Amino acid sequence: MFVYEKKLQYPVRIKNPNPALAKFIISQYGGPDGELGASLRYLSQRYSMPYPELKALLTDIGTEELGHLEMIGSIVHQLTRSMTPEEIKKSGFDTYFVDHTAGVYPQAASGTPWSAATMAVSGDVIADLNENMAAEQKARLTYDNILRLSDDPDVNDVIRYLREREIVHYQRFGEGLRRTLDRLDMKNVYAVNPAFDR
Amino acid sequence: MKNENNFRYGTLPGSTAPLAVAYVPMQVSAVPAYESEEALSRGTLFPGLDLPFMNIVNSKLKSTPMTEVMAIDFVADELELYLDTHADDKEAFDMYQTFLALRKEARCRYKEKYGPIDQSDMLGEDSYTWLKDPWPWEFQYKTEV
Repeated sequence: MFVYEKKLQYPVRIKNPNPALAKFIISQYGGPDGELGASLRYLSQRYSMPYPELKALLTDIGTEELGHLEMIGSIVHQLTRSMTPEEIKKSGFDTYFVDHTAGVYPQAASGTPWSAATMAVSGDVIADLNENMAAEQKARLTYDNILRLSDDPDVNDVIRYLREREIVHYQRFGEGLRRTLDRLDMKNVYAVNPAFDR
Repeated sequence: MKNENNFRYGTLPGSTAPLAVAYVPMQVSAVPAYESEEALSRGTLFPGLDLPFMNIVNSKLKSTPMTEVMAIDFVADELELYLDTHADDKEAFDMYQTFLALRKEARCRYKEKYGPIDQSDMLGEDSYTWLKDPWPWEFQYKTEV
């Protein structure tokens, strides 16, 4: 069960609308390494996690990622308020606008709609945790690239916050892997998949 | 590891470890920790995990009833992730208890002024205040909230 909290995890207050920025920040909403994929990856993987610390970690990080999805949606929403048709054409936002107006749609910056093909649920503990560590690195570098391209201080403030969360999550998934290895036969950690071979 | 940058390093399994598996060092302790508002602006409670791009960091947020709630919630959330992989760390669990109590107080102060954070906050209200604007994603011209 999920309960909504009527607040963001970190404040989003974008003073200057800027559809050109929204055009690539949308990638962290519905792109290949974005927050939608992150939350669904972790919240889906948790069903096959065999140990309590992993069930907790995937539930808690997956839930936090839903909060990050909301923050990215808020950035896109605020960057695209009160646009004129001239601004829309000049900024290159027209290719998005024609289908979605100023709505927030999960797609990559390239325009590809969000796809479950961008995430994995392998049912194998070690494979899933390695996937998650890689996913956190890919999200981190996407935020690096957004910081390289954006000169809006209100946007960058939020992006720096979200980027740092990826580093913390990477650490926790690494620790989750350690807790897993502690329970396995160190002579051969691949002897069984503890999620399946009981 | 007795230098003052100790907190930047974690433990690995002895001097050898099995081949063909990835190892991330375990964070040793939940201290040192930033105070709550600095933690929120940094995006982490833990100085050892604070690794900013181009070494640019956010300045502290202007303190408001909302950022106060956010900062306390953030520390609690951050400690939850830490405790998920360090359930036996008594010091971290005690810190977590402190922040759960602070969270309760900060939320009470917030909801009295601005309305419910979750729907259970409406217990004892005279009307259905859930509909009250603004919603979290909306741009707020006023910055007090």
